[in-house]
Amino acid sequence: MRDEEGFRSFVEANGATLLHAARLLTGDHHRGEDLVQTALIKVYLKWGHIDAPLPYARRALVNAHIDQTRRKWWGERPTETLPEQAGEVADVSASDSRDQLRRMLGGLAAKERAVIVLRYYCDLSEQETAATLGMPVGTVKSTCSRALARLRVEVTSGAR
Amino acid sequence: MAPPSEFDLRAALREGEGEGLDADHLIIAGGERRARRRARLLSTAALIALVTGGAIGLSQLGGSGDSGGASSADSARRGAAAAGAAGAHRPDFGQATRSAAANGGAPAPQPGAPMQLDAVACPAAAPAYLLPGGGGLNSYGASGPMFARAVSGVVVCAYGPARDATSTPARHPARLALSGSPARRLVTSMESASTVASAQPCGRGSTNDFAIIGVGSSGQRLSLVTAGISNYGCAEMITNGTAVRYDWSPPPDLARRMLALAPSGPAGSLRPSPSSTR
Repeated sequence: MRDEEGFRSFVEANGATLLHAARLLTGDHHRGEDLVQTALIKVYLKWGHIDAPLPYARRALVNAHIDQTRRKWWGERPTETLPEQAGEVADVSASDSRDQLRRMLGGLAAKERAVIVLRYYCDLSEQETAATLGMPVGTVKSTCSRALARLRVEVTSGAR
Repeated sequence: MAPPSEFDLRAALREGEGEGLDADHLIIAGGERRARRRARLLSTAALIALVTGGAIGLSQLGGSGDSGGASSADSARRGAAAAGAAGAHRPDFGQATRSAAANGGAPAPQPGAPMQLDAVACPAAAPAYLLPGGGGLNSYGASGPMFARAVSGVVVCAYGPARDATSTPARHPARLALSGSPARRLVTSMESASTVASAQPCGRGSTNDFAIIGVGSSGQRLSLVTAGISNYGCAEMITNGTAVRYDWSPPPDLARRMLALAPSGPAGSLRPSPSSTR
């Protein structure tokens, strides 16, 4: 008998975070819902065989998203030149700046976006991010640097 | 101005989080996927058994005389029996089809639709609510939700051209079951339609009667909403008997599927839905 109560507890504890991560990855409210549902159904079907369900769910989420971007054009493409940053316009509120950052996130390539979401929303270390994405730590670092440069975000903290 | 910091990035990413997920819906969807996977495996096994039995039979037919023929027939029978036995384990949609047809529905399980939707039958005739005063802004509950609980699936019943009381009864309804994103998009468009009648309502001309039944995550039947949708994909008014919305347009892809169930009159280009996504 599948441990449905265990799965329910897991969804209750982590569902909101995973849903928001999915929406950040896809850049769309509804596609994010579909993506997180796809990932969590996989988690449910493997429940009882997974040692660490949250990392597994993140991997399923990111892999499903990258697969989808390979197969379909969702109406967005990564751009070489991102929109002008809000910081270059005087008197922009913090809220506008955050909105601008989220819009610019949509201009990143799928893997760049995944690295940013895992590192700065899910708060994973570089090693954890590399394990989730199935790429070397060095690639995570370079992808992250490239993405931050495109977002023109100044990172002053040391690497985690 | 200074460029955004890591703190700004984290704050930007966190903004908007908070909405949770329905674990029951995920469990139901997971169960459905597992059942479909098993059905596919069984049908593949049955096909292999049938092909193997047939191949053995054919090869033995090409061998010695009567004894070969008899054993080839036995092999073919065994192969067919194995196929039949495997086929018997398929989920039986026939029962739901027969029972729902008796109620005036013609359910055709849609890919991805949870099995609970199959049990939701359409009313035999197009339902009609009598709203006090015809319904409106100041009527009790008129601006309330169409569905009091979260909807996991939707059954759309199409009755064909709208008829008045003196005309012949509507035909048996055609049926469309939606779940997941299409169901959510349809419900969202209904809930977000205007609560105020406009001076120039849409939905003029020939309309088709629909009943839209919400289904909860446990398969429980929720509200039934009536809608008369024009060939242009717009309904002047929709109601669940209490709440009312005006000038409702389903998302275009869903409007096409719904109108395809009950085509009438000349096809028109669909009115763009303000909330359409994909």
